[in-house]
Amino acid sequence: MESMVSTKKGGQIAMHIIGILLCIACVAPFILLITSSLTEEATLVKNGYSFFPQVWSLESYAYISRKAAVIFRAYGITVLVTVVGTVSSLFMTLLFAYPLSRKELPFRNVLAFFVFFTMLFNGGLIPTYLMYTGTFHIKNTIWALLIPSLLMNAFYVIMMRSFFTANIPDSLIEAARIDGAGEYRILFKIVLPLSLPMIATLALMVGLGYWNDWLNGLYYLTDENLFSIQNVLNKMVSDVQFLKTNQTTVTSAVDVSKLPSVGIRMAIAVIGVIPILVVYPFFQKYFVKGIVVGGVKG
Amino acid sequence: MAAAAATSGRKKGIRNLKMKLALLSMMIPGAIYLIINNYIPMAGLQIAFKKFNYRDGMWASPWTGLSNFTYLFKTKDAILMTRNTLLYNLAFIVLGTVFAVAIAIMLNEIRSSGAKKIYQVLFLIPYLISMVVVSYIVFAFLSYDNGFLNNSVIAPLGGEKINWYISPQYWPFILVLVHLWKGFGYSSIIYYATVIGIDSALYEAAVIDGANSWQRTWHVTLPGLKNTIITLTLLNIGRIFYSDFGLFYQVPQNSGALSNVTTTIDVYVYRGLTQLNDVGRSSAAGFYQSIVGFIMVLVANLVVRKIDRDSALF
Amino acid sequence: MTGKKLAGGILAAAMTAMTAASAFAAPEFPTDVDVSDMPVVEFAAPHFNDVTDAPMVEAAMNEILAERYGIQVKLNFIGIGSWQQQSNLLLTGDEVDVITLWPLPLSTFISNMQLYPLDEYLADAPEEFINKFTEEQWAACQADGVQYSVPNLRNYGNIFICYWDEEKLHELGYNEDEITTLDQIEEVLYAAHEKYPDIYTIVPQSQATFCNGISWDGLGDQNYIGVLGNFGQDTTVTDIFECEDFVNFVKRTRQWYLDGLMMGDALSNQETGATMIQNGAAFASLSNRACEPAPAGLTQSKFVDCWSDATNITALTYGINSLSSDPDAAWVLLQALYMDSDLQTLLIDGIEGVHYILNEDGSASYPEGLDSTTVTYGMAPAYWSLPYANSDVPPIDELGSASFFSDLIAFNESALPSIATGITIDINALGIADEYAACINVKTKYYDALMNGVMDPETTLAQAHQEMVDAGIEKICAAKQAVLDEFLAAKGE
Repeated sequence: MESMVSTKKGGQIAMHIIGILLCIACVAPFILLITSSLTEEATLVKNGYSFFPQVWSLESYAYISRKAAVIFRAYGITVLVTVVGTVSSLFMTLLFAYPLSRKELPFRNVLAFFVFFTMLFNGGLIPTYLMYTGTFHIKNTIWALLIPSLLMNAFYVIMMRSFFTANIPDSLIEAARIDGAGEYRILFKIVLPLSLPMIATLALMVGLGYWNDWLNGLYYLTDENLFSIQNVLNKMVSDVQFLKTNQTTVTSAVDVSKLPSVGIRMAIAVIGVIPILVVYPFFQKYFVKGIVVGGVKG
Repeated sequence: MAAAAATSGRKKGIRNLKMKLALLSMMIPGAIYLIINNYIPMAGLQIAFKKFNYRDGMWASPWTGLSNFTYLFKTKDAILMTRNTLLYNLAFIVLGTVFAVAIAIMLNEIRSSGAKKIYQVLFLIPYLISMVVVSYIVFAFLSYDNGFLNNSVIAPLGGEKINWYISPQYWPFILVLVHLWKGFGYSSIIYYATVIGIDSALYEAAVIDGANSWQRTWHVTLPGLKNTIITLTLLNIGRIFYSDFGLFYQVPQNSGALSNVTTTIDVYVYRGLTQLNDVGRSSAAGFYQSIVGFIMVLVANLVVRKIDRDSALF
Repeated sequence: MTGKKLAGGILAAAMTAMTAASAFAAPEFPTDVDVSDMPVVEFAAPHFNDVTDAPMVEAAMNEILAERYGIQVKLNFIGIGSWQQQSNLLLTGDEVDVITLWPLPLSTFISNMQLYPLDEYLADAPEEFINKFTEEQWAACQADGVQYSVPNLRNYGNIFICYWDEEKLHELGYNEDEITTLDQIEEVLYAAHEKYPDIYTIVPQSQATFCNGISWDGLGDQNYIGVLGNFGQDTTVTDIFECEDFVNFVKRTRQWYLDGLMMGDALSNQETGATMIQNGAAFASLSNRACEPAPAGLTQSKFVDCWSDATNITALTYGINSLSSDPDAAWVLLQALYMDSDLQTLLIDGIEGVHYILNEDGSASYPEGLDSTTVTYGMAPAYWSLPYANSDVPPIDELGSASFFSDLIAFNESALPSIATGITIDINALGIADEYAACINVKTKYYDALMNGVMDPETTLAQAHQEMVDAGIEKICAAKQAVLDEFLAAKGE
């Protein structure tokens, strides 16, 4: 069966060539990041970034390891926030997107518009900040990393709705109703198992959203003990960046040559990315064709 | 007889109502969140029409009409920044979609599941790197004296070194390339997830009809992706007046010599307002960007609705 | 009001319930050490070294504050890179009381009504406090006769110097102390270019900024939209691209560029000049400085004596949030931070024995094995961002000699002040914000490129000026000129 549905050998080779070229385009810069983070500072300043630096050095990682306690704590916070955030977010998105995909839902277009509108207009940072800090008091709490802007995203709702509309046949749901199943039961027992590839995709996206986010920390945290890994990394980079771009009368007192070097910033970027590359493969088993298909037919 | 039919009708009605209520009840948590996270702060849209000050806050600051908007139009750069924003976004939408769809189809057609997995993971790497770091990487390639392109490609071929950061003619291509490179792994995931959701019975039928792989792609895969493509394109049209600040500001290193091809609305606003910390004017810019996007989406959605009702967003 | 509160409460409850599914412990707010009902003043300042021990310092400060002043403080240190964003958010509500006003110009804070007027407090303030600053310095922090902020102790001006690679300069047979003009610097640069052709002869001060300023005064505007030339001694406001000093300077750097002295990709440079010299990639770099010693391996020659532009004094000041819930207590803290040596020492140097040690000869240094980057309360190198650093404890060793702060005060007294020193120009109130935004975008196109010699001034300057005119520079110059004339007239009276 599988062999019938796939392309001829020539096509396969051509696709692998394209795939490998794209992989090089994606990986080469990342390797450049790694080699730069392992280059001695003087070499980096003199010769720029290189795949084969003249002088190697572990100094960047030694510098970071002095902050090991801070970094591990931040990793912990990130993992916690990512897991809790992703699960809650998926749950809410699922519950919101599924009814939107059903034709029986009253005010369906209005509700779809209600979601979509949030993608176009926003009140801006200051009103949002005032509400979250003034009314909900999330400033300097773990909620600050979880709730604002990331918990449910209109984009994911719309994607999930499209998926349901296209992939869950009405007949299937009708049949379940006739069997006397309630709506929640239908959603969790029938629709959900059929949607695992989509759920996995969204989990990946929402998870990446939480993992990579540093804006919530920037806006709502001044207590550095609550910083996520991206906040810690971003702080290291942005402090240096600021002092370099603002060489004014006031900051002329700062000895910029004592600031973390470029190599350290590269090492920081590497540290932020590696865990995702480790975790991502575990998601992939859900991207397998066939999970959906069997269910739909049955 | 008639009474029995009425009873069953009433029963059906009650069941229907129950179903509708159940469906609506599912949406409560999400609706509350959207109201809190998105709709309540929208009261802040009024700031665009006010001379905002911190002491009086959002409600008590004095109204100022449309004067917050004038700086977006009263400059020679108005046309330039609008043109840049629009053209880059158009390029991103068209090329980005084509590229991501092609990758998704390719991933689907590739037989070796091991290779498939490796490609997926590696394609995502650029997405994971922050724009600031991307700007370092781009610099590593384009630096005049130490850059990879000048030293390892152009010089060995006997060409003359190019001072990239003062040569605006190359930057439209560089920026589009960087954007595609950074985003294709992520957006192809969406399309790939849709492709693998397509009913394999359709493929089997196509094979039985003697379709080759191109024909299968054309007649089965692409129609299966149509909905997703339309949805994502509509969403992108809604943000057509926005731009990725990091891409247009950090990647070109804010080099003044490039500003004719790198100044988008967001960059202009950032440069112009930072020192003034003018909340009113920056809200006005956001409002302007949103309203244009809104109108564009309404029109586009209407067109889609006329052609194919099911593909429309709302 | 109650309706609003109730609705908010319901929403908050709903929200908590929603996410409580994930079984979370409610976050704990740090409880105050002092349980009495003393007001707690929120203090916010930027930092760039580690301040993990801030709670320890805070506790020590609170002991003194409770005993002598009847208030408590909460220290909020915010990373310098996030400072602008976060401090601005803090000022949207009553989360902060005493705050560093930086890096935006003081006029922006005033124009946005972010500051509480201080006149009443100052009227009652002790003589000793008033005498910390001159009448002119106090006046600089006023607008329309209202006192909005208090200056702090740091450099109120800059000298301009050329950094050299110490070893190479001496190899060339020059002595840094004998070089005092740009012409002499030029001579050395050409000699160095001959002897060390493989490295950059001169590089930007930092990133694409070739040198910060030199002799033009932006009248409170770091973007130099409408300037006074000649170290702020001219009386006519001009476009930077027509300013004689600027024109002459960029003609010179253009020649340097053509002769191969300059960095080819200066506009995309990511490093600081000092770093490049230290790592042997460059020979020299121009820079603005105060009186700190030169970084290791570098030596410097001064070519412009200390002068201060119109708003040097107000570039970083301290004020009270206009929305502060207890401005009286905030003032008590602010005044104490200028007057109480024990508090100053704690805030700047931390705790004796932990963050610094006093040596037998009366000097101070970091505890063994620590330096400014590893100490767990590293505010000393950031003395310039704190209210008043001249406490009883001498500066920690890196800042140089024990006379550091008295030298600093003398340095400030030696500065040639711009004629517009203390002027406040509110772009928004003058109705020139639209033109100003347009002009900044034009200036960005040309300024750094000209300074780095990448563009030819012969052809570019006229074009740049024309674009500035189209963007409305004449209106801005006229508006600034009017304020300046009035200011000078008032001063002359």
